[in-house]
Amino acid sequence: MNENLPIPNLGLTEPEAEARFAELQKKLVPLWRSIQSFNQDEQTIVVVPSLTIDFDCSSSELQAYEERFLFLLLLLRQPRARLIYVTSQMIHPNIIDYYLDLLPGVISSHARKRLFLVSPLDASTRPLSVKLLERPRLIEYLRSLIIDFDRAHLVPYNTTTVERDLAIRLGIPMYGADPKTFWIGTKSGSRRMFADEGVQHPLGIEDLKSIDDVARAIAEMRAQKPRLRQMLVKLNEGVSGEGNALVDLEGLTFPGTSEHDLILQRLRSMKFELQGVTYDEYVAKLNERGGIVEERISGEEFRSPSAQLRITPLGQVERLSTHDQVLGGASGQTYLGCRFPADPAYAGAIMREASKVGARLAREGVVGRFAIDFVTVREQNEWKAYAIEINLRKGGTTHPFLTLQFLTDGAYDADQGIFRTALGHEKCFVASDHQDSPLYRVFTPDDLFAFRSDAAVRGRLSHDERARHTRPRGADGGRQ
Amino acid sequence: MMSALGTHGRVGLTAVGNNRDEADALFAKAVKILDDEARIALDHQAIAAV
Repeated sequence: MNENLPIPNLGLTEPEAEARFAELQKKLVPLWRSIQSFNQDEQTIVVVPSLTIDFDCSSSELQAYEERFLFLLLLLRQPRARLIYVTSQMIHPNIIDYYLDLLPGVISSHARKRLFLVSPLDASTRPLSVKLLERPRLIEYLRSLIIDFDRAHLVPYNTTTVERDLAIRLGIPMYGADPKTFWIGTKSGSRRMFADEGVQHPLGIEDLKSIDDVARAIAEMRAQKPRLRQMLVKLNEGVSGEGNALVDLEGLTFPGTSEHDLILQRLRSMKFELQGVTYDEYVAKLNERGGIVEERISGEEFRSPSAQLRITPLGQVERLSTHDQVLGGASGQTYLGCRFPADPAYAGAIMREASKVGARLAREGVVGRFAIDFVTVREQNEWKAYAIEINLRKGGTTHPFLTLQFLTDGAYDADQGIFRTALGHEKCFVASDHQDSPLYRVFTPDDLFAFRSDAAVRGRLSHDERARHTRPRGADGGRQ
Repeated sequence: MMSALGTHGRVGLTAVGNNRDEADALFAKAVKILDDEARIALDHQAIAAV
């Protein structure tokens, strides 16, 4: 049932496709300028929240992830904006109403007229972008909804050549990094970037292609630092810690003749972050995609903050936010949620380091949002920050943060590490996209909406908490 | 993330507060409401005999 349909050939060679895409991307510059000048010209935003990543989930989870970006419906606040939102399956109409009801100062029926929900009704768990490319008629339909091709752009989740080809098919630019820069967002690419830009990062070795490479790399690192206890192997394109494995070197004898075999034994029993993965499967992926090995940074007190930045089509680097990630899973590396903003004790430091990478990415021609993950450790009252990866895409912090920004017209002051609303009030949030219980299966989305009203009526939430403070989350949840 | 509710019992939740403690407290309150309501919903099963 999940067999791929043939994807119609673009009829372009790779260099031709790249050139066509580069031509389209130029349109972002005047479009950005006009959006910045707040003119009221009509524009069409095409949201295709495809998870074109190495990520296993069920079809209902995939749909939930695609709905995470429904907060973008708040863009319909601009009276001449049209929004096309594509998902694998249809969105429950009440979920749409919920978002439209959040629109400040807009009559929801007027917003609804400018919203176009499109779906291939394909419940397979393949990327949404692929589902669209397989269906030329659906692409024609999407094109028919775009009024002015000079004033339209595609909003993806991440950007691969599949999203680039979709932009070419639609004939509109894409707000996101050119897939040519994809390598920067791999684990190996991130390490190379940190080294180039003088950003402190864990001891490690990148560009490994086999388990023997990993074993040799560990031996090389042990020669430098014999006391290494725990190592992390990471697949180049792993998402949310799912491609990571923890290697225990505790008690391994000092470097000697049989060291390689002893390390291989330890690798045989490494602990995978993703449940159910076998050693052979993991090694097969390592051979295919490559990866890195690095020292696991730990300490009595350590945290996992991240910094978010964006590069505008004009090439300006903007510092958007910092978060403390809430991690869980087998070895504590799976993204569960976040707190905003990050602890001010290190928020400034990680943003400074992230800005070095931002300047480089701007020179590489990257456009759009990106995030850099760090590990911070407290040593004698001082926090040390190690950069661990660059994510050239939206992340798990994007939706709660942008929802807060859209609802309050506020901004994060990166120097002070504080978010203030337009009225000057400080705000913080805690967000999870893994709030789960087998018992919650008894609920429908309508039940969640009802609790919000019920709880307010029964006085379980105080008056202040009632309005928008706690909300079940459609678009504002999730891990990527 | 409401579309994974029926199959996986999974939702997303964001609590906004004026400071960290307030956001945490509000988050915990919301989770308690979900837990309580789930128990209440599962309790409504018996049909009273006439």
